Amino acid sequence: MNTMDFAQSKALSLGVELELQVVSRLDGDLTRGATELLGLINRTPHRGDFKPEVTESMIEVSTAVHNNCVELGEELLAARSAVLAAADRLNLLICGGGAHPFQHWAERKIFDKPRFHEHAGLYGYLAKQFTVFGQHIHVGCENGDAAMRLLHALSRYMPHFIALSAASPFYQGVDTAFDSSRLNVVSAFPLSGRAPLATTWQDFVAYFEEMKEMGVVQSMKDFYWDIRPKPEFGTVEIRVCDTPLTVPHATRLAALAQTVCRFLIEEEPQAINESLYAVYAINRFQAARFGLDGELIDPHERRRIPLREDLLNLLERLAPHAAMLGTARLLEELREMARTGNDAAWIRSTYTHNHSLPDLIWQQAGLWAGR
Amino acid sequence: MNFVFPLSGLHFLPDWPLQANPLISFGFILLFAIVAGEVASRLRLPRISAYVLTGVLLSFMRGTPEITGLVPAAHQVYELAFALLLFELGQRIDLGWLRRNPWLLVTSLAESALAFVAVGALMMLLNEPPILAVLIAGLAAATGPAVVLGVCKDTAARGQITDRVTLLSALGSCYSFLVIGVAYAWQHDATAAPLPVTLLHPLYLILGSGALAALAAWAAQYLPARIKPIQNNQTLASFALIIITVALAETLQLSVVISLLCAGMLSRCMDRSHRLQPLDFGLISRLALIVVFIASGTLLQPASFATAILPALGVVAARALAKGIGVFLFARPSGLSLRKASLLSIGLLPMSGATLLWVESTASIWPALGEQLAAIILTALLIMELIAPPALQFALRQADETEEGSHT
Repeated sequence: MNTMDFAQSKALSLGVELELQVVSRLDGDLTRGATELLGLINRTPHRGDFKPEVTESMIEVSTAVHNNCVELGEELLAARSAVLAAADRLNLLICGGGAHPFQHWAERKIFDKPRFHEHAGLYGYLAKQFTVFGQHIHVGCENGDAAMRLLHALSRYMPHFIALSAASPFYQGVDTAFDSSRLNVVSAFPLSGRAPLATTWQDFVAYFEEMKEMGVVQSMKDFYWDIRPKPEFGTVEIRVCDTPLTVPHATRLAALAQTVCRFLIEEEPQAINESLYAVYAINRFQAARFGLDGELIDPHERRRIPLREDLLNLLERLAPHAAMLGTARLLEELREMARTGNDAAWIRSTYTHNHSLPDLIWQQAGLWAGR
Repeated sequence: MNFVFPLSGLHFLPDWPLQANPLISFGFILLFAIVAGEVASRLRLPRISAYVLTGVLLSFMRGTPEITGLVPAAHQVYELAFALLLFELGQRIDLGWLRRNPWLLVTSLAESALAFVAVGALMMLLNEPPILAVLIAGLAAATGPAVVLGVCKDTAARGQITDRVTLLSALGSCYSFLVIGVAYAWQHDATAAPLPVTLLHPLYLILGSGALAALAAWAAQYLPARIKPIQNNQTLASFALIIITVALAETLQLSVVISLLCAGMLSRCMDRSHRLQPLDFGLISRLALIVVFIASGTLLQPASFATAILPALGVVAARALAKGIGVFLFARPSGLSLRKASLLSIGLLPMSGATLLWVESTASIWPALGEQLAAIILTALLIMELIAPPALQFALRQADETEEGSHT
């Protein structure tokens, strides 16, 4: 089978990947512990699939394929218990959040695998700076054409995902003023941003082959797009989210993704053309910078609208689909969050309390552990 | 020397021949050690090995009859430097880890106990008197905290082996202290001290040192937290507290080692809101490392070296083997792969510089016993000061926990 053959999967099936911070209990800084953690976790049967990531201070957990968000949430909670049990024995803390608030990237050790060393050789300091932590959401598609249509339609709602998940206001010891500083790190890579406007799988494969021929990429993994197709899984992958501070919030974001996708597939609310992307970069910036307080430009109606208002409108329109998918309660929690503030707001207010970044990390770890 | 004569009228010139200022030798030794450390680091060897070698060279040049080769002033400096390193190490110890992973406590007890038994049995085989066997075994059972701290800082090591070596060396130092406290009581009994004295001495040492540690930890926690963390003010305040604690421990004849180690550990426990990161004493602690390792290098006593070398090598081998077994037995339940367990065993090789202080205090109470103790244990210490730092560095590198192109 060709690697660019699009595997068929059930429409609206879901999978989630979470990149987690491995932190020392000694000083709250990132530490090397992925190898030991994985060794210990994999000794006993557990839910969730754990993998090493680009540095020793990050591990990634991914779920099985689910149709129901409640079940997905249960698997994530079980996986959390597994990693916490191992972390306790190794004297490590596990944290959510899109970036470590004060780690110094020069100290990060690249994980001992040839692909990762190659990566470090090519990207230099960017590879080490890339110690940021994201949540990736996979949504199943029946075929490649459907995947490409969904991908472009979703781009309209990326600011909503960015604002709701943003959890990296501090980076390298300073308040970046961004709600999600992680997105800026991703943007530094040449192959980041948006996918080209191919609306059929055939067109997309042609684009990919062209890029491969020119030596720009070797595989789909080399594209760091905000949304990218994943042919071997038969999914569209949303990659703009910071890893949230809590497991339940990760489940909520997955529920939002599933429900939005159903809405887009069933109602086809917008035409898919280049004008969708005319304002994409500026909307993305607004969401990363100001979070829920940002402003959106609606590419079709050509007007400005507060992101929060647009989100509430969206949640309104999603209601019938949420009822069908069983995500209504989870979306209700997101509506509540639109009122009370996102994870970045929590991080800032916690820091204001006693002005200690190490203490902030302890609080974040406590939140992630559900304490 | 007629041509010099007219200068004698110039009263502001120094007298001829020049009188050496003692500081000049200190300065030159320090400079030599730093340069040698730089050379070592370029050869990918630990800097502290170069400091030990500097001390060894120095020992050939000195003629002091002191049992450990330290003149009183140097002794004070050594003690303070060692105390600072212990405090710093103590701050890196998280006792809660033992609760979360009790197998670590088991590992720690096993590796120390096995090393104690192995070395003690060897000494008995060599027909050494029991009290000497117990003292040597008690000192040999611990892993050296200063070497651990020195090498870990030198290589900016972070990770599981680093954390475990640090924890085990701190715990080992505590056990070693307890065993020797009891041995002291036993020796008091043997030298026909009245019973209350026999019992009270170790009790006084343990309770007194513990109380002093708690007081120091409280002060180190509350005073610096009220000082703004700018221009190293917090660090300097902590350093001042350490000096006072060392002086009090001396005056009250308590254990400097245990007081400062426990002070470090307790101050970490008390930092509930994580306001103070573990303090890095930076330059001061680098100077302390240099002083401590030059001093251990000067232990070489050519006269006793020849007779003591074989038993000393025996001590070194027996404890290495015993510690290895202790670590391997409980590696898996404590969450360590066998490969990492072997690296941890290598990491535990360093012997403790506290040995030097114990030898001195033993010699001051029982001169003859101190002499016998010094011959074997100080030779073993010297051997390990040369072998152990590169071994520990090797283990940390193999565990992929060091920062290449190291900086401190």
